[in-house]
Amino acid sequence: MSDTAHHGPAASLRRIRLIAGHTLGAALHQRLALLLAITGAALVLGARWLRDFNFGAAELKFIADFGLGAIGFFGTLLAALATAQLFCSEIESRAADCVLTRPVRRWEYLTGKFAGVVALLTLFVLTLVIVLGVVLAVRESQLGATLAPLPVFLQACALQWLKITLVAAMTLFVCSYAGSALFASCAGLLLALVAQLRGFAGGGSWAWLRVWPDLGLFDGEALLAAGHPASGGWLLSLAGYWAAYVLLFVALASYAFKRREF
Amino acid sequence: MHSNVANFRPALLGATFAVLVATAVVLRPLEQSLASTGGHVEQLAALAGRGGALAVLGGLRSVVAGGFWLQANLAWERRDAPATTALLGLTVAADERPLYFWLNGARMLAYDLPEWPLAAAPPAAVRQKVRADYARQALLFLEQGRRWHGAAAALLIEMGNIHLRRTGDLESAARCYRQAAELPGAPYYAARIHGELLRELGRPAEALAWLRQVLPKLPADDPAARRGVVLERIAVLERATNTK
Repeated sequence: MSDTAHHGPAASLRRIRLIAGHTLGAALHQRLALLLAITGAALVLGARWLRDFNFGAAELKFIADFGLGAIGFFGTLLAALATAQLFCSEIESRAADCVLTRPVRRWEYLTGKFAGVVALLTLFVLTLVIVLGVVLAVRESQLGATLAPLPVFLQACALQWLKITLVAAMTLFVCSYAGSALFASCAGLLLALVAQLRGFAGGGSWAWLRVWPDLGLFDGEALLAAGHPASGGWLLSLAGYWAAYVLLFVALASYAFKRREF
Repeated sequence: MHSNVANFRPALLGATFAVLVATAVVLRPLEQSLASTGGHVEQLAALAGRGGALAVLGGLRSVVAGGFWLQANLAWERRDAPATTALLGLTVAADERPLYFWLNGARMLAYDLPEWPLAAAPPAAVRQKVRADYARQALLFLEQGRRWHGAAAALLIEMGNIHLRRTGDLESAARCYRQAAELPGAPYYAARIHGELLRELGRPAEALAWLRQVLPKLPADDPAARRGVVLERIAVLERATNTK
């Protein structure tokens, strides 16, 4: 193969796509993703039977709240655990060495890994959103009531997806220098917790938290409770905020990974 | 020696922090325009160490709050006042959004809990003190609701009710009903009760002015507005104050 076949954006993209595909395949073989997806789906399906715990809100709102909560909660777990597991297992088994001895740049390897995890999270969210959508549609037809227009529901689910992919990017950054999957996944979850608490940071001694992204902005439940779609400008701004932090964490991870010694 | 962070260099730490600070500064205006609803540190502090904090942060607020509410009701059935109070606090800390928790929690505090120690028929002064203490607790609970949940006519009306029925503070009750009446979506009766309380406080002219101010906003075709009752009250007050 000529040298030019390894250079240029097209070649980079091809390599990233290959690594992403491989990562997604490996992730789907893991029991973790399946376990979390089944648990999440069971909880969403079981939301109707958890009505005994619903006092404060209308039933449809409770089901939607609970479903979105399950997507966010299990999605965050999957984002941190799967990213750490998929990345660190390849480092520990030396499989990454085989890839990196080929003409693959380290940032391409990392970006491919991240794209694979994002694909996994997309499948996870899509599966649970379909389950939640069916549960809500069935209950809506039984009650003869409507929770919120479909675009609002989809926007709320999209916010959950943005949130958990950002958690995956944070975890990837930790993975770039971490020595074990356990450390990386714990640190990833801790960073996600800090980002979730970020909204509570006022001034004073908590002001330093402001350097961290605010996961509270991706509040799908609030959007659903409002009942009307978010404005295009707001969504674009939020997507920009998300993209800026995802790029930042992937870039930082690439920087750290480039200097990593094997 | 194996280390989890052997590859983490001081230069990386410095670069990470510098880039994070720079990004935060650049994104600050964008973040402010997105207006995070944020949260209340007190809510987290209340939940800390009680279980459910992680689930609440993860988004499973409704079900966690529902669990606490059930436990609060079990404590209420056992007539365990400290446990009921604590669990009511946990319920609203887990999910501050439903008014149901705030209103029913305040009613438990104001009307149920003080009756339990009074079953032994203590002297009147003690009864009065116990009722006043619990009423104060209920009012503080609702005040917290106004801070966490945001302005809601129902919270102010409940505060007005407690002032009216438990503390006997008509002045405060009138203030609460007025504040409630001025909020969007307030029930019509809040304004009527405010007028009535002004009259009871011996300020008929003020009551008349208030009802005259309220009258144009009352739709004639809505029975809940009780326009006829307000017109009658205005007539009575006009006679009492000799104004027309």
